[in-house]
Amino acid sequence: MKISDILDETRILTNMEGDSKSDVINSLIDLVAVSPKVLDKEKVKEAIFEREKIMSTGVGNGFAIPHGKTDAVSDIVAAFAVTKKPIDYEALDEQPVRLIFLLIGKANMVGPHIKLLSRISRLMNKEEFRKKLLEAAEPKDVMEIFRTEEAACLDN
Amino acid sequence: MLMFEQNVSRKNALLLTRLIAIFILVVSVYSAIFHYLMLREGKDLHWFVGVYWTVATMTTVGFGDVVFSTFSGMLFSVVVIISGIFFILIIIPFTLIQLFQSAARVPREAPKGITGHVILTHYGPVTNVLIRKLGYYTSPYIMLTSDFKQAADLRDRGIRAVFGEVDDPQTYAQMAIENAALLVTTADDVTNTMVIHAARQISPTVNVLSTSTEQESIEILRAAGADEILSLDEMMGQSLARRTIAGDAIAHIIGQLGSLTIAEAAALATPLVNKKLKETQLRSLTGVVVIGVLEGPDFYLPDAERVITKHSILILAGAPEAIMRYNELFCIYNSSNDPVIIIGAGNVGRWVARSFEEHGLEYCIMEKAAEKTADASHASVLDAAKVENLRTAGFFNAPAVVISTHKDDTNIYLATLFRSLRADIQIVSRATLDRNVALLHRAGCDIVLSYASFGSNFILNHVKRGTYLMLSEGVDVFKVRTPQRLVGKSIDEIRLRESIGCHVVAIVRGEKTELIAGPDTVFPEDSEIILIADNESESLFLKKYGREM
Repeated sequence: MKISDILDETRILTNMEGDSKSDVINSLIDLVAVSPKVLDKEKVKEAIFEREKIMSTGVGNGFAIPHGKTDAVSDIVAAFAVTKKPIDYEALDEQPVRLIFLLIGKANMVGPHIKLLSRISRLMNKEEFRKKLLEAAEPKDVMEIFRTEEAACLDN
Repeated sequence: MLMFEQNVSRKNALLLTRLIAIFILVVSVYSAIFHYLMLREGKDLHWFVGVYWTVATMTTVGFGDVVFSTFSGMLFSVVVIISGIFFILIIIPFTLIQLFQSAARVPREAPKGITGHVILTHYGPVTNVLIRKLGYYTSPYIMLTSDFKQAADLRDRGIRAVFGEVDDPQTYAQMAIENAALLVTTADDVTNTMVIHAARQISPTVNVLSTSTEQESIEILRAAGADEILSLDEMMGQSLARRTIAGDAIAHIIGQLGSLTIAEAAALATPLVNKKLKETQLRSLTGVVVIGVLEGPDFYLPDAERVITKHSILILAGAPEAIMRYNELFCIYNSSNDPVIIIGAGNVGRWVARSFEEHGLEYCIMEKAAEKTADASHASVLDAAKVENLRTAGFFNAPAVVISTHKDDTNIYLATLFRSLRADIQIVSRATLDRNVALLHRAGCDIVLSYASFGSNFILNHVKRGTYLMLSEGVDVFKVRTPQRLVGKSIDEIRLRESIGCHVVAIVRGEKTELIAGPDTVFPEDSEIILIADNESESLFLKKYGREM
């Protein structure tokens, strides 16, 4: 499964408002909640914050991957945002975060969930890629950047 | 080993006793004849004079103080002198030579009554380590060799070598192959095929394990009659790849013991760094327990107070689902896209590459010999000893470098060079010989896996029917029957860890494997235990409890 398959322009924000970690996570959950695949928004929220409580998903280099697994979705859903201002996300490198990828998986789909998370993390670790995302003006630009990068990685 | 040595000393004792008995008998008979002849000459002498005269005459000393004056007496003296020369100059030296050389005497067949033994057909680095390990478990074995001098040398070193042509079916009859537990052949693919055919001629049922170098040989070896085929290059490549922590922070599975999965995970760039083991709460969060920590070449048993560093590799144990839960938590950390450099496009190097491909990791192979790169992907003809080549390959951005060549001296040279160029790169290397592991660590390698230990451990795991797993150089996880002395006692009471250095990981009862809950856990009857220990502690444990298992 590719990232570009689970993400679409309606789940992308390029200038997201928000002052705190919970603000931005909640905004992203609101963004995916309109999807028919999300059966119970509150349960999704619970799963995401539960995971965040265990250890921060701010992996460093200015990006975070809040995620969780729950029965409250019928399929994998994802959202992505570039925040307007840097957010204190309690990241591992203690640096603020501007790129946030939200992933919610089905409770019984552990394998694909792990693979997707690894792929997102690997892509986001590329400095050039992050730079392009930060400079993207529109959700469609973000989508295009993801598509191009993923295609390049798969070709290699 | 003991059985052979006991046999040798028993034979020596028998030989010596027989020699002394013959000497006493001869002296007694001659003394009796001496007294008879002396009486005929009218001399009734003390009984000891007979013994004295016989020994003096046989040793050709002949003091001349006691002499015969009759013809029959003189004739008898000549007979005693000649038989003395024969005995002293021929029989005694010959026996003594046999006596002193008996340890080096090379048998041509298995000791009588041997059963359940492992027959090894090729002496090399892998079998050398395997023999040592079989010794820990007092498992009987025969080291078969077609080289008589090698057999003699091996016996001098206390190895149970037997001389015989490995391509002659009759040899295997002499090795009591019908009673053997396993035949292990670790030579090249061609020799292995021949050995298997020869052995199968005599025993269609014995369990045969063979190593293979080329993928194409696997079917040939199977057709020849091998039951189990180990591609050591493949296993080595996969293991080196698993040890390359540059790609991710997920737990890589090393193997299974009972229903327990053993895995290892790098702590680098995860929230675990700088935390004490007790603070991680990994068991309650995921169900996995940390059963050991590797810091470069050093291994530490789990200690609640141990602080995890960015160099730590955690050895984890748990049910497969628990390992998945661990991966779900940690897969987002330490992901890297910069290619890992692989040195060498030989068999092992290619398996490293294949393993990286499976995990979606980028890599770049540097190979000096153009012919080896022809059909290898991501490979360039570059001499890794030149800095400009390393720059071209992306060495200065690479998170890790894997040295896979079979030449230890080359590996040591390259590791030294790489470390001098970059202090922060992870260097993982293969060693062909055990003894070079320390040198490679000294040269700057973070992880070294020796081909010899690696191969021997895989074979041992087969011999011990899946109860043995090598974690790193000199550290193993193994499953044994719970020694009778431990049954009914708690972990806290027996203090295996404090006294021997073995850490009990889990208790196996039937199909059920349970991780140790705490120091109050009691060892039940009819159970097995899974332990983790370095080689020294493992050997101590087996010496102390081996007979009860």
